[in-house]
Amino acid sequence: MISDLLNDVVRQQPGQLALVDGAERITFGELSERVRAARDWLRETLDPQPGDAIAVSLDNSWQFVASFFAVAELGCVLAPCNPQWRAAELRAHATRLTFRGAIIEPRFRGEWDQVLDAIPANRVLTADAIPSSASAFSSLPPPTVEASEETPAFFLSTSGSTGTPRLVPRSHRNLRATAENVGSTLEIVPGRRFLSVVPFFSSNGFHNGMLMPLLRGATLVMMRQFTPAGCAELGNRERVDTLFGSPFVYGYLVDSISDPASLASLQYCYSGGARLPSNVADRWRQRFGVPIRQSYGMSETGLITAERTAEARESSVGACIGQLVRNVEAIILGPGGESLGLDEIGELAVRSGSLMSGYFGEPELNRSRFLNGFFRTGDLGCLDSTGRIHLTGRMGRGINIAGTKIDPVEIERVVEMLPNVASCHVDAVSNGRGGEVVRARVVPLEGRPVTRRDVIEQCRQQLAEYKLPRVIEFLETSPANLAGKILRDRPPESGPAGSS
Amino acid sequence: MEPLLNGPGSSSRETVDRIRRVFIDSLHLNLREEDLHYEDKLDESVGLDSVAVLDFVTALEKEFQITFEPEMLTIDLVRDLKELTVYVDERVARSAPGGLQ
Repeated sequence: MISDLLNDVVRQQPGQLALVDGAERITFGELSERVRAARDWLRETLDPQPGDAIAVSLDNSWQFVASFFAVAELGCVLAPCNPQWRAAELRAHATRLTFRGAIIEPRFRGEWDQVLDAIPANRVLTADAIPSSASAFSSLPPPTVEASEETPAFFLSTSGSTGTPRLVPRSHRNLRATAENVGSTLEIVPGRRFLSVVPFFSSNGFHNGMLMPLLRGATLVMMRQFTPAGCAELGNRERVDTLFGSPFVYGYLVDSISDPASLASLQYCYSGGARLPSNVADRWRQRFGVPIRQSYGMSETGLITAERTAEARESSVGACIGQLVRNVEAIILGPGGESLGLDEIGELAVRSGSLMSGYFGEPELNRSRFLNGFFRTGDLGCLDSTGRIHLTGRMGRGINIAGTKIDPVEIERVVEMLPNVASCHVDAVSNGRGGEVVRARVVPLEGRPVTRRDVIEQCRQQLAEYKLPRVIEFLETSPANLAGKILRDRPPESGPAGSS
Repeated sequence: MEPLLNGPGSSSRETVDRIRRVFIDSLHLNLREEDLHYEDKLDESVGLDSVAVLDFVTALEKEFQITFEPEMLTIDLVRDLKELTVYVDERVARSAPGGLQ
């Protein structure tokens, strides 16, 4: 089980610092105690059975870390929920996974109170109730759980392209492989200090900002709420040397921190989730003197590539995302599923111990996404002669805003529920700074007015705030050509178009 | 420009206009400044998640050469054009030579 790996580290270095969470400094020995306390507290309050799902909506905190390992030790599966989700999104998630209970930050209580039909209030626990000492439960016998390595320990949610999020089970075996492969590839050793700013409910934050470093004996310096000034202050005070960030994080830090002495201890910077704009990479290197190394991974696969050298890699075809992580195999598939040669562009497919066994409850989708044990990523690119992968684009309609994937169909469905809307088409347009924003093109029914506010209000009732369109255009007819194909392959526009 | 009913004093009128411009540009909205009414909340016409708030605030800091106090990085302040104008004016005054601070 995944907690065995943590217990190994605890035995080797009980006094070494594991977590920094605000004023709290927690050693591996103390973390082990807190995991036990959280585990027994969960047994008393929820009486979970092996296989049960327990939701969390927590900041990057010791409570998140302890909950994860506690739930895993009980043979249960932790299902993180994005704190920005609305009641409708939480309800859909809770209904598919049947939560045994939930652990949330007290400030999210209002949203969870609206989903009592899916999960009763007495099973929604708040983080401040997690005990830090196991002494209260000394009468409880140790749990007897025999979970197979194939049992899921963590459920990631990723947007698909059908209007319903996809659930990605991460088994004990997947998580072990991720930690070992990535940790050994990047040579993470005890004593390294990670600045954990990317939320743990996301794949990048969980795999690379929490699980892997902890299981390699490194220290997590956690940020509950990301602010650039807070990052600089914490990074300096705690002398962090490693950051797994996103283009969003690096963009803010480089815009906001002008003093190169800030973050002077930072030596290893990795960026994942989305393409890093080159102006951010260049300014970062000039200001702080260290490169940002590109990496690439997915919820389904864990980390696939990471650049190991400090040299900036130019790509003539797209974006160079570095070398393969140890024990990850990659092939490039042609249109007929045949394997292509070096420098030939096709669909990237990967295979590794960290690859999920399949999406939860989606047999048809799984048949189409797996080929001879390889998972088709949906990303287009090629392999070069140095063993690096270059990405050139994406198949399908998925939108990636600063590393967060958004399903256009989910937004279209919500807008089309408005009584005066005939149809809606959602895509992404360039924000002119190397990123993208969501655009909704709305066709009202003839003679029936629809305003921007109607669209925003409707979306806000059903969708998390980050999914709300920034550009809203009203058209008389659907943006389809004569053949009925939506013109989604049009190059992104450089600036905001039209007006509402 | 539309008349500002119960609008700000003349010293802030320019601030309001600049804030509206920054809001539209930093979030890449296809809106005109006059679509953002002084009496309304800014998030009536756009989603304001934490990323958007940071986008907007960082652009405001750049535009006005000020720094937001960390405890003021709240959605309640940022969505309220009136309160935001007062706050920005106050921060500008503090950072000006000879200002408080």
